[in-house]
Amino acid sequence: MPPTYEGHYSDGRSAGRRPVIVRVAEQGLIIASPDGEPVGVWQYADLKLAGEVFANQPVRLTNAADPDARLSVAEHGFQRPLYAFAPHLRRRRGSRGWSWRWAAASGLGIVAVLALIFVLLPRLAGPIAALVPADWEKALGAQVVKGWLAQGEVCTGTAGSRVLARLIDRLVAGVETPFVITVRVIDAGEANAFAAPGGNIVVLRGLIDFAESGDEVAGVLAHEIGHVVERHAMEAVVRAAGLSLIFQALVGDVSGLLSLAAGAGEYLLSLSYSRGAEAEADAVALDILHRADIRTDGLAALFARLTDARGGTPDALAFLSTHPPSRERAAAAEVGGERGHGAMSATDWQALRTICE
Amino acid sequence: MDPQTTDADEANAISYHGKTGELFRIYLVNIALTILTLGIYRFWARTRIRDYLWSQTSFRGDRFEYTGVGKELFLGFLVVFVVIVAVSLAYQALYTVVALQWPDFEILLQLLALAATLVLIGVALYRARRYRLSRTRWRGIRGAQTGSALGFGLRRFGYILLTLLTLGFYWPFMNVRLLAFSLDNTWFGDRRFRFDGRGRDLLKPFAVVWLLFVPTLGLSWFFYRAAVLRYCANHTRYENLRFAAEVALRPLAMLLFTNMLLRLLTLGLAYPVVLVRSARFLCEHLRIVGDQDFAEIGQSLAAVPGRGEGLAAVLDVGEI
Repeated sequence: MPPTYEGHYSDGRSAGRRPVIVRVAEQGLIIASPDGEPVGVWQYADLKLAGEVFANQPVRLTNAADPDARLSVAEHGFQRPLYAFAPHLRRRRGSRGWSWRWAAASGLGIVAVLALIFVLLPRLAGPIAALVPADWEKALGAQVVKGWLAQGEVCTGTAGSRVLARLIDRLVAGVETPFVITVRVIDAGEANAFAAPGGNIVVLRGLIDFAESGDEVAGVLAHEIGHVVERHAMEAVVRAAGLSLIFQALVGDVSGLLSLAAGAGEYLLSLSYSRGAEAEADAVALDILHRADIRTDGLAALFARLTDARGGTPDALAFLSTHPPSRERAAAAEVGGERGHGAMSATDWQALRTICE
Repeated sequence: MDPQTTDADEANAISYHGKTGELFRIYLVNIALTILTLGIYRFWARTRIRDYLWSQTSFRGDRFEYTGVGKELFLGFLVVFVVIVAVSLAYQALYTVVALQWPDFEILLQLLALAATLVLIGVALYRARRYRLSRTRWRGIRGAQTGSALGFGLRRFGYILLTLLTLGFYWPFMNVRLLAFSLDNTWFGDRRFRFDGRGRDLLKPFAVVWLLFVPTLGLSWFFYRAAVLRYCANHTRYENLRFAAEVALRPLAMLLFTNMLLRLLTLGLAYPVVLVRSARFLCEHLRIVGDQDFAEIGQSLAAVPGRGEGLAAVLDVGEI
């Protein structure tokens, strides 16, 4: 005699329910009203649990052949004979349980995401940046420069500005770029320089103070022009946008803790990308200096001293091209550095040094 | 109280049976898997939490059932994410061109984007509710929500503007009208809920809150919340059933305040505790009065959305 259990049955056509007796028989769950009137037979293969069975919770079943109907049995002893006939119910709930397919899919998903971040995005950022119309880049650059100008006065010393303009004309001659290269010196103490989108170059006064000759300043300017020619700033913007897109998609709304960690990851990644771009800008810089007939050992000397001064740590300006000084870069600029002439006369160099006064 | 109605009231009890420990275990596994899968698991995680909460809540002795699956949330998110990315890229492009050519219109464009986002948040909330109701069953019968999500979003936006213009005094009207819009469009089976509240009835408690906000250091806000809960429950009907909430100021204030503290002090880790406390509180204080023959209620005929909550996930405005 198959075991019987008391339960409740709803037919799925109305929200009423009726008490039933459930028999766990060979051919299926035989459901009948207490006075013996048959209600239905549910095949084991069609059964699913409507939710996990926690303590004190009735065992609730659905039937694929009649998907709106529900059967509920309060006694947990029901599970043993039921699972003997329907072992698939042992797993929590059909497709929800861990299966090799799920594991493989999530593994693949993770690999895909990592490939997207570390392989595809760095390779695509350049070509996408190249597609951005020059006008848009100029508008974007204007926004960035506006932000910088808030940090310090633009230096406009007459003699110094004249020297700077002459030097830039010399460097830019023969450079192919859709942008008008604009160089501003800002009165800030840090020894650094940046290339914003749209041909906007900013040199901080601290760099001119740190430099020991006009050749060194020329080297830095050539390097920044290199960034402009290669559209690195736009590439960085595309990359940052892509990264934040990916991180938003991944993290979305998990919790404050997680999004904090994600923010840090995003930042570190954008730093690690910039190394390749620096080498490219160096290569262009050497070209520019050769063409302008300016010796390249100034750039090399400046890099070497920056490395010593900062202990080789990259600075924190992650968004735009950052300048992690390195000995290899100094070495690259050193080769054949003494060919060419000085960038400017000693008087001109003195004038440039006082551009912020 | 009328002794004759006590039996029906007993029978109409809503109870929460869940244990914090069980939910916490689900939550910890969820966090671990979400981190391991770089966040993709969160749709399945959310589904498991709901599954637990729904199945631990009973009405007239029968548990509710959540039939949604993580895949639906994931697909919903993917589709909306792609669309939103495309739209915002187009907006960025337009913005750049406008900023370059007609700088005077820059602010106008920004305001338009802000307005569109506000409307979209309303749309997202409404659509998410539609999905949740369509995946909620009791005795095998589905819930449903009709009505236009865009209509809800536009109304909500308009009410927000009015609230700003009236120094906040439109707030109770906004609460009541939005609730009326959603409740009148809420169905269980083939019958809908009815809500007959009016904003002006809440104006008095709101004025009290408004006047006492500074002297009570903002604590008067709890008074308003309790009044809204009581009022809205008392004006909701489903067929022959009426809802009633007996929410006193003190217990509600304690609940909301301690929930907030719990979440802050544990950096959100106490989320399951907060959920269980809220569910228990609601079940204890919400009564359903009247007698209804549920055999009369038929299965819902409303369309069932195939995917869910994408917009809410992208805009990060989901509940539970």
